[in-house]
Amino acid sequence: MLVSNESLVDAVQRDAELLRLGNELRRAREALLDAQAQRASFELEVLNSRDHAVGQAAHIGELRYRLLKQAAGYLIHDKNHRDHIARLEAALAESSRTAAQTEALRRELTATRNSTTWKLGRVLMFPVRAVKRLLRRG
Amino acid sequence: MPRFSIITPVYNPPREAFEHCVRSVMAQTNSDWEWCLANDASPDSWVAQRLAELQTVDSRVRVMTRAVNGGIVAASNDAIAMSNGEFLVLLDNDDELHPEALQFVADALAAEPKCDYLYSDEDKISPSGEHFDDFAKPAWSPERLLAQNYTSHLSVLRRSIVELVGRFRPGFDGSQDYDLVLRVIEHAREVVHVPQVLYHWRSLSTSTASAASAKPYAFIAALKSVGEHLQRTDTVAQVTEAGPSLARVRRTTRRHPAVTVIIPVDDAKQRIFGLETPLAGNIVKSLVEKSTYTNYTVTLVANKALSDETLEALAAPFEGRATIVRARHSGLAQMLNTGLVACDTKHAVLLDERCEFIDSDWLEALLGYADRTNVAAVAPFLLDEFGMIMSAGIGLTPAPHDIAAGRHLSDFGPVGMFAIAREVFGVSMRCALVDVASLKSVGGFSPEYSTRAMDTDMACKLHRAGRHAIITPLVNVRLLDDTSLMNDEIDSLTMRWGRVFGSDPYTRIDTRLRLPVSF
Repeated sequence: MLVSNESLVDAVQRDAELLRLGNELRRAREALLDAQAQRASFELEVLNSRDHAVGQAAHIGELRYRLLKQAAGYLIHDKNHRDHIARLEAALAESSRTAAQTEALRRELTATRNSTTWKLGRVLMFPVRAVKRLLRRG
Repeated sequence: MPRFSIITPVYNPPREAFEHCVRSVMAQTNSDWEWCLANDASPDSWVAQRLAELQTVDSRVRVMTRAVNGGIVAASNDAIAMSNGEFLVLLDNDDELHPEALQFVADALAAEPKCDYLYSDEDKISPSGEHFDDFAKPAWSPERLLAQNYTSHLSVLRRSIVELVGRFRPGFDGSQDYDLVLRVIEHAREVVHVPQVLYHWRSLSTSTASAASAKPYAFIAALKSVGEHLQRTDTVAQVTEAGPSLARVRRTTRRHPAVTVIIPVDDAKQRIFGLETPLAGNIVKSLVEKSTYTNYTVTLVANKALSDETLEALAAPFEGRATIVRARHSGLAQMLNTGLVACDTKHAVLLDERCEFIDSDWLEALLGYADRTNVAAVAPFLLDEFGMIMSAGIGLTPAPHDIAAGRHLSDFGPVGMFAIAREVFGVSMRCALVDVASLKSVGGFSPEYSTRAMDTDMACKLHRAGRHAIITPLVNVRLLDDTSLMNDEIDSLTMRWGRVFGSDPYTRIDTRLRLPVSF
């Protein structure tokens, strides 16, 4: 069978075109697969970033909660301390008052002992005291 | 117009119990109420006399007397017909309200003005007057309500919706409240739970408070109510008895959506019944042999340990429905994330290679819950080789734990909670049907965790995003793993979520303010 030169050229060109298209398709497929893999990789990164953001927000929430709880604890602690100081101050004031009262009583006692009446009484009661002392000695 | 109309059908109550009931209403600290009592032709003459007396003593008391006995439904409807209040408060003629009940309700309604249905915690009163059996109820759990009337008392319903649904229905005696609530929630904008004991249910020998079997006709009516509710809400489901006063609702999916089963696989082996078995091969075999649902594809996420030949052998039984994805990063969390990224269906099943299926309709059963609003994950009970429960969900109170771990499958648990499908704080992701978008929206699984602590982290993230989880005993999956699902990463978990530990809305420890109950 005779084939014209023209037909041969067409066939060769067609084969070459097919080959080229085939190669292009293969490259496109590879590019698509790469793009898909890249997309999956990006999506995974997005997921991880989102988790990181959610996790950080939760972490901050937790820290804020602990801080507030601690602050509330400190407030109670502080109040307890202040109450304790107030109690100590009240006790101190009470103690000072008692000391002043004691001092006043001591002064009153000293004044009583230095009085003429007391001294006279001591002199008058001397014999009684002497007898009592002798009786104690037996 | 008063805010609250207390609805009480009256039929020959024990006199002493009724007097307690009266005192409890009169002692309300909130005075914005009316009390609508319908005397259902009580034969005891003191009833009519006492009701007439009450009416003269307090103008807020309204009484109607039926000429003939019509039963609790007719009497309750007559009481509603008399009422003018914005909300109906249901009170039985031998029970008691807490003195601050209406005030607590008013406060809760002020906080949530869109509330159309409100329920509170309750306890029981013994014949000798002792309070017992506190029921610390979970937050609003619509799935649980289908299995048991857990909201029960105190129930407060917006009157306009009660009128819209046609009040109580004849033919549901004994479960008329449950039937009404199921119809009201179909229209309710918001449902609110008040975590306080506001209702004291008197336990008489004939009342349902004393034993679930005291009124068997009531349970039959309850099953009927649930069935009709499911029909009205266009849900394909089968309602059967699960146990005493417990219904089992077996939902089926109508749409048969495509599902991706994501299985992270490695070269791990385990001795199963004396044979050293590759776990990846075992789960593939179980999945192929034990699944009646057909519209699923499989994504095998492999690490570097597995060869291409092994992976191809694993994929072969799925006859072209399996995709192999190589994880670029190590760690279970990243493998699962890789699977989620590769997933192009709305729902996916996350499957641990240590699982084995027991029920062949497992996927149909899980898919039945998938379309419920805001549900991010549905999971089966995980059992060990001896039928003991390893996880029936993840609870947070008092600390993160696997619910029902170590209990036998036949154990119904407190208030039957292990025998029914219900909302839980989280579920183990070893085997779970998930809404892919919900998981992606919270960043997938956290690579910060190398163990199953990531399940608890995921539960916290989903809960924070307003998504729910459901656990169902209708599906049991065997887990070939002797390690605890909880682990050493609790410290790390605490640094993220420590503040929410102990505040699980579905598993409450009774920390309610215990109010004095004497009037």
